[in-house]
Amino acid sequence: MAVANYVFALFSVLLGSAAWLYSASYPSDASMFPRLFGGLLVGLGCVLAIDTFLRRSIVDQEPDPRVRLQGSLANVWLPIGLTVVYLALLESVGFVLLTPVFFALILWTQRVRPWMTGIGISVATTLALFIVFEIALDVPLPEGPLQWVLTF
Amino acid sequence: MDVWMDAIGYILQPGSLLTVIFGVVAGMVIGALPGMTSTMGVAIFIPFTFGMDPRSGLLLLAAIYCSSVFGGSIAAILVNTPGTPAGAATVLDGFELTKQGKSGLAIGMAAIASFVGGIVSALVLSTVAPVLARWALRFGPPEYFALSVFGMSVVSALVAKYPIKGFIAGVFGLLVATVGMDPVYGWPRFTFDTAGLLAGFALIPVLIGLFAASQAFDLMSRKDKGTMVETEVAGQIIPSWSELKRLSGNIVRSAFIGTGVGIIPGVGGDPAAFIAYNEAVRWSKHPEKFGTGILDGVAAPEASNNGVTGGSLVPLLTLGIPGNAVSAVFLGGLLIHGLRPGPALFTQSGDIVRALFAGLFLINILMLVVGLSSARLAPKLLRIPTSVLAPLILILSIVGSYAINKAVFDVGVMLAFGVIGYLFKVLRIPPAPAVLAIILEPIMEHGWRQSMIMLHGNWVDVLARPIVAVFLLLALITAVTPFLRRRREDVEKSEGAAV
Repeated sequence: MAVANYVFALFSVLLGSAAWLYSASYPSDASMFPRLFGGLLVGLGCVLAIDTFLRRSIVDQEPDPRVRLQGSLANVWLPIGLTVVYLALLESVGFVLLTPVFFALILWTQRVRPWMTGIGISVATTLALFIVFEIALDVPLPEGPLQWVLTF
Repeated sequence: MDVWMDAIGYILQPGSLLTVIFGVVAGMVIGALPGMTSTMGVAIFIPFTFGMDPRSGLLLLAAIYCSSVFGGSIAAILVNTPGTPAGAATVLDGFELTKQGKSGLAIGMAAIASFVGGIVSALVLSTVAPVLARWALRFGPPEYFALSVFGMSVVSALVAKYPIKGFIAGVFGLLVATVGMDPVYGWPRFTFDTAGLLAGFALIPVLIGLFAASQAFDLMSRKDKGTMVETEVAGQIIPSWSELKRLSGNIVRSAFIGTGVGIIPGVGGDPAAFIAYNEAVRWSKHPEKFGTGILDGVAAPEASNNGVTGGSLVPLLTLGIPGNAVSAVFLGGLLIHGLRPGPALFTQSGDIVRALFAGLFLINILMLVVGLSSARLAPKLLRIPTSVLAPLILILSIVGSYAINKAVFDVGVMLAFGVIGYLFKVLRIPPAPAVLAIILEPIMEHGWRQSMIMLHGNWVDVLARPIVAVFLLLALITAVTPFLRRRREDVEKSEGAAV
């Protein structure tokens, strides 16, 4: 955990410094709080690094986050990547057409087998969400090329 | 007395009863679903009240409001995901109780505490509302600033185990909240010429990301893909009489905290729950047990966040100032029926106001009955393997975030904070401080800058105000406490090792 703490401390210092420098161009009133928080981030990052060094024997007893991150490429980061693609295509393809495909792929990354089970769950979920949000709650969802069909 | 009997007679009519029961059940379902909020629930049902009697319409909206706040605790307890922002504090001990096989007790405690909170706030609303409203008017910008600083000190209670990382998360949240237009002069900050950032990050997508989406990613990362929650609510639902007696002080105190915070315009249920939680920690003989799964940690935030429901209606009904986002939407429900909030509301539409006051008692009673009787049904909705539940939470988070402003940008915000929340979990950084900071920063900054304008830049005059001084002193004590405690623990550990 010590390494993770040092990395997080570095991130805190960099983020705080960036906020401090970037907000320098704002009028003094507008920059006051961002600079205060940026300075606090830099300070706390340094404190974390020093504290980790001084309490290293205690910190090293905590679980290593690298263990949790191992093997998460397919389970976590692939779904995140798929979600980014989903968001990029949502408005053009539409909720009804895109969501079953997206959801089925996500279920596949989570090892839901056989294929038909995943497809069945994804279609049913899409339908349920459409009924609840679009019809029952009147929240318009992206329609895409089905615009004329869904608004008929 | 006759006018009150009329009000009670109205709410006990079959039509009114059915309306309230429907509102209670709908509110619980809305509150329990991650991505759905009390604000959204009330707003969605406003059009349905067009053709209704104003009293019934307001009863429906009030029922959805009150029960959705309680409903948020169900998801918080069973799946570690607050259904509503006000349920964020319940996650801390609620989910831990579920892991101990005491989910029934947690839900039962939440129902009882919510009932007490709702009843207390209804009592306050109906009997002392005018007096409380006059007192709350004394809060000027300096007092709002001090209250938000005190609220931030609650961070220390949330990060007892990792105080420095928790404070970094809190300051990160403060910085995130500065994105958007400067609250006083409208100067764009950290917008990078992006139109979507001019209004800052929408709070709900951030909350959904940090709590729901991050939980989905965390579940996805686990090798065990079994069911995430118990297949049935374990153990008894209703706490023992001795347990209730022990917690009665905590519950009543928290109910009054929530009612008091709810009365202050602009401060909502989210800080109230955390403030009540912090107070429960401070008053407890075993503060180290908070966060490990104790009923005290469920009772305090639930009594408080339901205490906000009635409290937030005080400034709305007496002054026309919404107490929080939900009461702001509630204002729309009043205006639709031609009702103008303010002192005149009590004289010109007294029957409607009294029906609402009486209805709040009925709503909370029904919420308790429905909550306790249906507690064991709740997990049936969640008896889904993790491999399916996690993607379900993700897609619900996506659609829920989209529904706020019908904007894909908000979903992107949700996803980004979902990744941040997941990394927080991996690095053992509590996300709650960041959430609290995002909620409180606008109040803090607005309060301070208005104070400086008001007092011509003399910050000493700000600190000299009695209420400000008290809040800031409490904040200092609360913020320093976990470091002192940790220092004591380190010394005890080293002494134990030496022996």
